[in-house]
Amino acid sequence: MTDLLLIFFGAIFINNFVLARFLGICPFLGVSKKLETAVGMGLAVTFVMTMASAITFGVNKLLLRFNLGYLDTITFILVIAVLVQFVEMILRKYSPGLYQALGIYLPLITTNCAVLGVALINIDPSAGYNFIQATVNGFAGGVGFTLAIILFAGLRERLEFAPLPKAMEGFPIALILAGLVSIAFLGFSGFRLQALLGL
Amino acid sequence: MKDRWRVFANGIFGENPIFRLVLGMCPTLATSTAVANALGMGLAATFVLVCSNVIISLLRNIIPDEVRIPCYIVVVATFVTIVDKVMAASAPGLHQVLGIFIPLIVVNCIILGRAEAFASKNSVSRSFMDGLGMGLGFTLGLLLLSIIREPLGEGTFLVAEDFGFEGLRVIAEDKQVLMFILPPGAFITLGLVLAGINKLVAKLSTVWAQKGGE
Amino acid sequence: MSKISKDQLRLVLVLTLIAAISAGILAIVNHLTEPKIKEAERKATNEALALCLPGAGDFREELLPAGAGGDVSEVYRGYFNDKPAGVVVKVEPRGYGGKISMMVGITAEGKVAGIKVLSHSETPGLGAKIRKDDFLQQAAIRESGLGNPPALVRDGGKVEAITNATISCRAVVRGINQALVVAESFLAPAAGGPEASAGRSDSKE
Repeated sequence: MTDLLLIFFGAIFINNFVLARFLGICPFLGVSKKLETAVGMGLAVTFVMTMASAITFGVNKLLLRFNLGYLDTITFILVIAVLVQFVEMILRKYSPGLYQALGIYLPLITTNCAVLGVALINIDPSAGYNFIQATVNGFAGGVGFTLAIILFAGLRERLEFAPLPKAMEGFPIALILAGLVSIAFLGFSGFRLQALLGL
Repeated sequence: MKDRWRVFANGIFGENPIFRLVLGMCPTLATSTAVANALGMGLAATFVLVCSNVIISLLRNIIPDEVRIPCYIVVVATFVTIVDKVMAASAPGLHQVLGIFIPLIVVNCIILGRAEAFASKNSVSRSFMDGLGMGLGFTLGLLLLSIIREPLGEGTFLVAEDFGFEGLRVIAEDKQVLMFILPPGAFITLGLVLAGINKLVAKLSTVWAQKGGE
Repeated sequence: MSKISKDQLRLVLVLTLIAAISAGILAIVNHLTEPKIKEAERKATNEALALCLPGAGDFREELLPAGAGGDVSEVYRGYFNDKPAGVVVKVEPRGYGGKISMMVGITAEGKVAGIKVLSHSETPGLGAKIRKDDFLQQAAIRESGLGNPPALVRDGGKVEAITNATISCRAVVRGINQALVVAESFLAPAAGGPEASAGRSDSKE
């Protein structure tokens, strides 16, 4: 249980997928102009990352059994693409409300490198995760992404009417802002999780 | 022939993937910590871009529209795996540093974007030049960032352990600005460089406008 | 959807064909590069082994002894002209950013002969300096051994930690200590050492 807590909090605060590992930057910058859409994107990514972690972990075991380890990247990305399509279909049929809210972001998730990234991190032999740890890592990675994008969207909404030099408008100021949020997250990396969790 | 070179130059300047299109941000931020890493990442992406552009252009009349995205992904993933394996065999140190960012070239928006927007509609030779231009434009962008970040953050320049090059010490040890190689430094450096380039482009276009229709 | 049309058949056919060709190409590439990747890994291991135990020419991997610390992953016995010359232990203690993979060489007399950090994910510019000679080659580490286990100044020993990187340095020291424990069970004359050789010769030189 303690290892799961360490993975969970570590993936959210210390090795945040966006701010420390540079995964999922495209949606982080692209879909963070409004708080509402940021929340939607965060939820959709969390869902897909959790599912993808669980499925690709099993798929990798299968590949290794048949000595096909070199096909991991190509298989994972196809699994993720199919998964995203599948989620889209299920949502459209059974939860039109949620589909309305997330629908436009779902196709974008296939090319979100946080999803393929977490799948590849999970199978890294030096991490040595088991199935449960991998799934928790995927879920926590998604929660970390959601936290980062919500914080960032809140800041960007306030920035909208700030007077800025023309050259700084848009991406440049967004990147500098992301740098400041990232500095704030560096503060977490000083925490000793083991001590905090009383382990 | 002139048309081919225009396509090539467009990738490097007019539509530079990092500075003009603002695509492929993840590897840009993550691998521009040192010049050697930036060069390795840039060339790996260039190889994948050129090869996938050529193959997709060759197959553009065979691939049915409905399944084109999965087909593109398979083609790109194949070349990415080739790069991954070749790099692991020839430059293991660099391969270890770049880590998952090599396989993540698969989901780099630049590559799928060029497949969809250019290679699927253009001849093989034009697609080749587009891939080469975009790839080198990406590499140049990475190099520019790493040339700022490595000396300031690490205090060294051009360290390449795989090739036995020790690098030059630019700033005395313990005097460097560590922030530049940490994640916040990546965001802030890219933001400032982007703003500088925006300013430059704005200035150049007013100069050209004043010259009037030349 | 009662009948599969010709067009749909074509979709499936093209996608399958492309996937099959890709898999074929990758199988060939894998076949060509795998020996080279293995070779590069073996070369890196051998270089690290030779660096950690300069007196030995031949290394053989051994089974981990009972009671080895949790971070110990591999043990090699070093030989010089078929005479035991010491032990090299691979340990992976948890540092600040993740596992620090390192090798520690210990001579037959029980002295630390060399340390090599193979990989780590410590903070660049801070914890990452554990790779540097300034830290690893300091007297308190170089002169440590079985009767003289290293410890940080802060923990009552003599090893100077790198400023602002105590956790990383403490992890390296913990690794050395675990290596010493393993070496002790191999070098102790009474125990004779578990002769269960894994039977893998990792070096020809």
